Amino acid sequence: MTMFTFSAPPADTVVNVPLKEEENWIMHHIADSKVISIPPFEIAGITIDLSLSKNILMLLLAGLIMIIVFSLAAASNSRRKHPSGIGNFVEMMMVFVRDEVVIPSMGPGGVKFLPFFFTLFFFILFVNLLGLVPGMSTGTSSISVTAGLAIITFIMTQVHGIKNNGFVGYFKGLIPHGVPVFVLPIMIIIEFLGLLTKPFALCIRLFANMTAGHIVIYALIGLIFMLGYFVIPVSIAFSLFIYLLEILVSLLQAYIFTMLSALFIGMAIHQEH
Amino acid sequence: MTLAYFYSAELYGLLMFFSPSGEKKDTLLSVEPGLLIWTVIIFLILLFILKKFAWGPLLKSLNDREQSIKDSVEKAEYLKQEAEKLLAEHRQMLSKADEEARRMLAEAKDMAEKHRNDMLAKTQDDAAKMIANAKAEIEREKVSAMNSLRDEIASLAVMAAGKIIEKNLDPSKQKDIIDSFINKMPQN
Repeated sequence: MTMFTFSAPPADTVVNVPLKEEENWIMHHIADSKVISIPPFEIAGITIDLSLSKNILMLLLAGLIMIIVFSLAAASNSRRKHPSGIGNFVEMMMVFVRDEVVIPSMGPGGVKFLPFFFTLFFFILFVNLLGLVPGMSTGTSSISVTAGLAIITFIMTQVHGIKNNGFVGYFKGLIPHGVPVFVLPIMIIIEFLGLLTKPFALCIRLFANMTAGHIVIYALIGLIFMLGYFVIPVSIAFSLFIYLLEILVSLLQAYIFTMLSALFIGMAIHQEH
Repeated sequence: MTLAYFYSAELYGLLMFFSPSGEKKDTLLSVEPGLLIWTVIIFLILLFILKKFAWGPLLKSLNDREQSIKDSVEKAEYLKQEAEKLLAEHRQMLSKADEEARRMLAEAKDMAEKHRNDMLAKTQDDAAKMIANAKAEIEREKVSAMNSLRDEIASLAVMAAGKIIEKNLDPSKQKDIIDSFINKMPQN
């Protein structure tokens, strides 16, 4: 709560009631809160606070659930000749990621990146879905988490682009063929910015999608306290609708993030396209 | 009233990196390096662990199964083709055998017919020959009989004339003479 203190909005929007910190409860629910404090330290002028927070716990929990689920699936699948139960379900998702996401975006060469994309897809999916469990918070509704994931994709893109095309070849290949010389300076700037906007867009897209639903649900529930108890049926109905929508969005965003990552990495590897 | 205030406050908090006073605030859009680093670390550890304990075995079993299904399908396809080929071969053989049998039957029929015709012709020939032989024999016999009869009659006439001349006989004697003559005639 202490981290969200706002100066009062302009006077014309505020009528009568001065803002008290306690009233900004939506931000409180969406924002991170510390669980275990580690004293922050400073590197290159950036204060880094590695304290364990609610979001980190959620990430760890999602990771733990993933390890359990997929180990069980692996055990189940290697025991039987035909998959069944959890192994079958996991395999269905894996085949989806492989055949609908990675291979179409990267071509057959994407097969060796499969473990990375599986981890990315399921990690985002599990964190998203975990946020829908009452009492939990959504890790991916923090821009720091999505930025972390986007940075991983960014680094993967650059590393594999350079690895496959050579350092000079990669940066040369960023600029399309047949560009007139006088446009080159602009193109170089645009393409360089393009490199950075791709992960930035990834980061913002996931963050905004996962945050928006929660804010809407909180706002709808907030209506009950704002307008009175007679709006309860409406609030509940709309919240439920948004909640179901969020299940869809969770899947969709995991899919989009993975697909775009695959596309970016694929494009960096095969620059001629 | 409260609602308008509520939303404006939220939007205000959501969109501001910094409060108007210039003091840095933790808002939704401010990146916390700590959380970012944690995310990267957790992701990398997760990738490492899952790659080793989950994706490896899962992908292996998936690929193995896909390979085995592909092999099975290919084998089934091959076997099907083989079976079809065999079936066609058998059909061909069967029809060939049928044709052969029909041909042999026709041949045998032809042969039998020919044989029958031959036999018939031969028999008819034989019969005709035998009839001709018999006819010739009869003719010959007839001629020889006529000749011998003629001889006999001549000699008889001669003898009868001699007897008539020899004695003038009465009818009873004449009868006796004829009887005795007849009796003297060779038996056949």
